[in-house]
Amino acid sequence: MWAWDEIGPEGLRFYGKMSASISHEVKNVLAIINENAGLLNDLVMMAERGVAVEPQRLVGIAGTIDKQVRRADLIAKNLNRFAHSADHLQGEVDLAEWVELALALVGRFASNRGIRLEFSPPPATPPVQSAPFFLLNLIWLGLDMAMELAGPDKTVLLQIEVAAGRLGLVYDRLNPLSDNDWDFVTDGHVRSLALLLGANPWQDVKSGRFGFDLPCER
Amino acid sequence: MRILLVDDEYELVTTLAERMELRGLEADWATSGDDALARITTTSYDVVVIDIKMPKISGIEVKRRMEKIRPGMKYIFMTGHGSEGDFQEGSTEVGGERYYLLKPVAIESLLEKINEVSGH
Repeated sequence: MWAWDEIGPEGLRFYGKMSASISHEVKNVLAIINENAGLLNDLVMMAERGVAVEPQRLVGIAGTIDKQVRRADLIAKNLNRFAHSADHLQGEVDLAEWVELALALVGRFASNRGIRLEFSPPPATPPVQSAPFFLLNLIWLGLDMAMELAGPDKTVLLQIEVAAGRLGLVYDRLNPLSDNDWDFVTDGHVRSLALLLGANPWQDVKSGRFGFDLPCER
Repeated sequence: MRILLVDDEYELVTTLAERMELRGLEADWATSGDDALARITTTSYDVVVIDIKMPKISGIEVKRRMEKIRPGMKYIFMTGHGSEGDFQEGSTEVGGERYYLLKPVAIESLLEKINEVSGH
């Protein structure tokens, strides 16, 4: 039986961490729009005093604001998908889409640690029945650990392996796990989430890879 | 007065620098802690405005390293939404919450703090 006492607080921590990061990102977008709106005002005041303002300068500012509006729209879309992932305890999930959402949510954590996250989704992945929010939580736990264990090129490679009856998410290009006092398989939070999701966590100590398999119908 | 703006958001730091220049300040900018540290090895600034959360080196760490390289410069932190812990550490580091600003910041307010902290 999975332990709600463990996954409940861990899930809230995950939700809080992602929400805080997203709000930080939104604040940055607002700050850029704020400065560009301010610069437009500055240029208007200069024009009123008879200083020539190049139209191209205004086009550039409008372009920057437009770019930031699109950035904010994407952040809001991702936040919305993330928030609604908690709507149902069970649902059909496309693992590749969920990995992409997780990468969008954690991008700032990766750049703060100087880590590059790479993911090449396979052409098609069969859907899995899973708990969407807690699957994201498990993907995040793996990413958090993988970023700590990234090798000299500071890159974590995520791969999805499709096999009969199972779907695997692999965190690759890590330092040999034996060099660290860390263990994906026995981590308490990972185990509780894995039990809830019916997932099977594994690790290959020598090659510096770990991941988890999910059952799927095809 | 000479200002250094440090923030990993290129569009923010360049626009803010341009607006400061329009107001008669000399404003340089850097988009990483490493760039900012390189700049102060050749140039002294009256005030350095630093984003707290930046890739690789945090704003607080950048400020600590700058103080060793070039003592005497004044600092203001600017951040998105930090945690309570960030706020405590950041405001202590710059000598009070008055110099720990939350984005977006009105330029008049930022200039007021710059004048205040630099004693101009």
